[in-house]
Amino acid sequence: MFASELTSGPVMMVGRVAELASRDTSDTRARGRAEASLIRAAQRGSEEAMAELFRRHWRAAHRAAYLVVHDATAAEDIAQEAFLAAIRALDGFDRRRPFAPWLHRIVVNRAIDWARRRTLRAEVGYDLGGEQAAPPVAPALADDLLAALASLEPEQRAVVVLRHLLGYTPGQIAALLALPRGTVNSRLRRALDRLGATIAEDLDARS
Amino acid sequence: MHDRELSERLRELPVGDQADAEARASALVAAAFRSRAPTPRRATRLRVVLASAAVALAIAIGAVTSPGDAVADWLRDVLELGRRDARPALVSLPAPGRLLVTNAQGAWIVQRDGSKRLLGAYDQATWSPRGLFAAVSRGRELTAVDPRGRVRWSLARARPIADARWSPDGFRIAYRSGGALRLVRGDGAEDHLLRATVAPIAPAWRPGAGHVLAFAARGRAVVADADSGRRLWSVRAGGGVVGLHWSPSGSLLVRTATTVRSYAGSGRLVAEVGVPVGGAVLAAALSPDGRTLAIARRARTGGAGEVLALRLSPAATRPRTMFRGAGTFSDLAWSPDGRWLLIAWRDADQWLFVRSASVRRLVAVSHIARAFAPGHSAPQRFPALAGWCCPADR
Repeated sequence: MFASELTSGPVMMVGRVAELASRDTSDTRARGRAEASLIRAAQRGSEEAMAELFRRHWRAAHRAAYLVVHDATAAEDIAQEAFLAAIRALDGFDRRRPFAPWLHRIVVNRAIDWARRRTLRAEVGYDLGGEQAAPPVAPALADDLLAALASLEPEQRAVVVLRHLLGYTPGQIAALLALPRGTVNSRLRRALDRLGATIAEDLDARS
Repeated sequence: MHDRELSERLRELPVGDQADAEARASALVAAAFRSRAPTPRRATRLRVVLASAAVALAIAIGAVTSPGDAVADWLRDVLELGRRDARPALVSLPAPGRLLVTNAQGAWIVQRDGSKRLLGAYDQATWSPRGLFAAVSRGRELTAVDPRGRVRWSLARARPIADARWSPDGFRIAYRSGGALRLVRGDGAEDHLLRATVAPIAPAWRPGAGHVLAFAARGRAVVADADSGRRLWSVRAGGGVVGLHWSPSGSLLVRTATTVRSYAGSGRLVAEVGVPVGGAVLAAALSPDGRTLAIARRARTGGAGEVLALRLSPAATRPRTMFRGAGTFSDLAWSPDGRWLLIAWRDADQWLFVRSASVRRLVAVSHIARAFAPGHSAPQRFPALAGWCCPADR
């Protein structure tokens, strides 16, 4: 069963995603008002407003997708698709609600689906450009983290990315992914345990 | 590792050509937004500037496209996401036959009159040679169903199943399970291992008599007798095999990232066509007569996609641009009679039926994702093409 695609349109997000805005600080509320203005302007046809929305949200969306799928082409596709979905749904978007959670939900769900499909295809190290040719070298610590992330299940990577890259709380993650909060907490705990163990092993191996 | 440290490292990890990706996406999103919204005056001037640049680019690339290209259409399409003249709903197919399609809901059959039937919640699907059945898969299960979705047989394997392909006579199905290639009879019996390790490329059956199968393994295209398992011949594919196609005459087309090579029955190279330098190839489809290979790929810059036609017979000619537009063309499928090419324009949520004899004749249909998710109001995933069958259909 694939992770569910966005199951409620932006105007129907009042219930669950409303809680994502419930913990805003005053600065965040100010940013939210500014973003609501941007969305309104984009809904009225302002290309500058749409470009600003893109500028504000692209890098986080792209990075989130990449950290889940670990494939540059797929990450670019997924992040692009999310913005195109945003454009298609723009007229119905409730600008009182935050844009980022809506966008991130699309990104993360599609990234999970893609990562699951790749697992089903059992790729054996080939990509469209041919065989991997990089010689074996001792990876830097940052690459160790990437390798450690890759060892997680897609769903675990997703919660790590939502929590530690995009800054959502476990409750907010549960709302984004339509999961019980306990499930989110257990996935996060297992993922962090495994990340810590994997990186510690690599450090030991290189020491 | 502390939470803050983890967050900092996640933010600092390299994510490929981030700047280039952002530039491509920015152009795509801008094009999509312009296609959606009325064009304010400032954007009109921008459109003129971009159109002028596109004219200059059209002149520059004139050496690699044939004079017959519809340049006017291309100039419009390269800046827009989707055809404005698209029909709002899929009410018919322009050619006889039935389409097989998969999306989040499962596998669907689309009839000539545009009606759709859901076969079931399957991930992948492929037609039997005469369209009497479909081989479908989901996870570790391979199933044969009839066009009404009734299960004829099913088998489970330890590793996930993908890329099932029916032999031309309908008596064999080759499929990948994990990293292995397996074979089963058309009635679901005598399933066995054919090769322990193959590349994640769909196998391809040679047309005609016998059960001769091509697959990719260890950087080579391998041709084997599927029943005996004996390797008949193989060729090295520099850079790795990305696609395998058999022509009706029994030549094997081996596609790499940069070339298409045609091999005769003994593995003798008979033709080679270079794929113009460009972006990643996302889909390829060989016409039923084996004369034209259509390729969908990204342009190198600007967020555009393009569909190229590589003429292979009677003589290989330079690639011709069939269509260009903003966004991604994700799939291709030829009609069974070879007269139409279906281009799946994922980012525009459209299907384009292009008359292969003349690019000027084109039928576009919008709202494709929604067409395969009736009753859903939220954005849906664009469906994948799984085959267009059958020549005998009317």
